[in-house]
Amino acid sequence: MNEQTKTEPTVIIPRVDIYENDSEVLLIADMPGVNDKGVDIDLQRNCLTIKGTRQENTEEGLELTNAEFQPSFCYERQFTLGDTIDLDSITASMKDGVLRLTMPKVKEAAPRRIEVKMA
Amino acid sequence: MRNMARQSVWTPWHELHNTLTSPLESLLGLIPEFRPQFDYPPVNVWKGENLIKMSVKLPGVKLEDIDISLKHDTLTIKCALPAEAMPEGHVARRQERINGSWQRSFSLPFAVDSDAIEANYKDGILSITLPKAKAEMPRKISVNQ
Repeated sequence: MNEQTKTEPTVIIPRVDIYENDSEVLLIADMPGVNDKGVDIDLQRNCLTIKGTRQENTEEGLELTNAEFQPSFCYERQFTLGDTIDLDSITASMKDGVLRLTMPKVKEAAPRRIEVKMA
Repeated sequence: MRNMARQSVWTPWHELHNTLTSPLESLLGLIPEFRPQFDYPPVNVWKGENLIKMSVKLPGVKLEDIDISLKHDTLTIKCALPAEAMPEGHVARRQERINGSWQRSFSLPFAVDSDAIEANYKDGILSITLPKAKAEMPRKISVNQ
C-alpha cells in the first residue's frame, strides 16, 4: 500500500455493559472485528484504556455500494477505576468481537485488633 | 402561496437554529447513547462483477443463531435471540450494548446462486458471499455451420 492512500482509521467508542456485585466488576465491551491480537488493554494507575484495531483491505474489483461502517477502524475508551478494584488481578478475554474484563474487588481487610501489651 | 411566504419568514430562524444545534449534535454523536439510531446491525455491501459480498458487524452471536434466507432477489438476515440475561447477583451500572432479535432485508442487484451462498463468522463479523446465478452469466453460444 502506498503512503498517500493511508488514512488514520476512524475512532469508535465501543458500547459497554458494566455489572457489579460484592466481589467483582464485569466490563463487557462490543468490539466487532477485533480479535485477541488486535486488542490492547492498558492500565496506568487507576485509568483503564481499552483499544482495538481492525484493518481490512478492499478486494480488487469490488465496489462498496452500501457503507454503514468503515472497513478499517479502531475502538478506544477510557475508564477510571475505583479504589475497591484489585488492579493486579484483572483478567480479560476476547471472543466473537466481545471483550470481557473481570475486575475483582479488594477483599476488605478484616478488622484487626492490636493488643497493647503492658510493660 | 401563503404557506410559502410563511416559510420564508422562518428561514433565517431555521438557519440560526441549525448553526446552534449542529455543533451540539456532532458533540453528542461522540456518546453512544446520543448517536442517531441506524438500522442494526450495520452492514457493508460490496458489489463485484460476478458476486456480492456483505459484512455485518455483529458481536457476540453464534453462526447457528443467524438465519439467512433468499426469496427471489431479497436476502433476509435474521437473528432470533432472547435478550442477554444479566449475570446473576449483579447490579447493572451501564447497559449500552444492543442485544436481542432483529431482521434486515436487502434487494440484490442480480439473481444469485442460492446453493452457493457462503457465510462465515469470525471475530464478531459475519461475512456472506453471494455468487451470481449461472443463468445471469454471459453465455457464449457457438454457431455450428
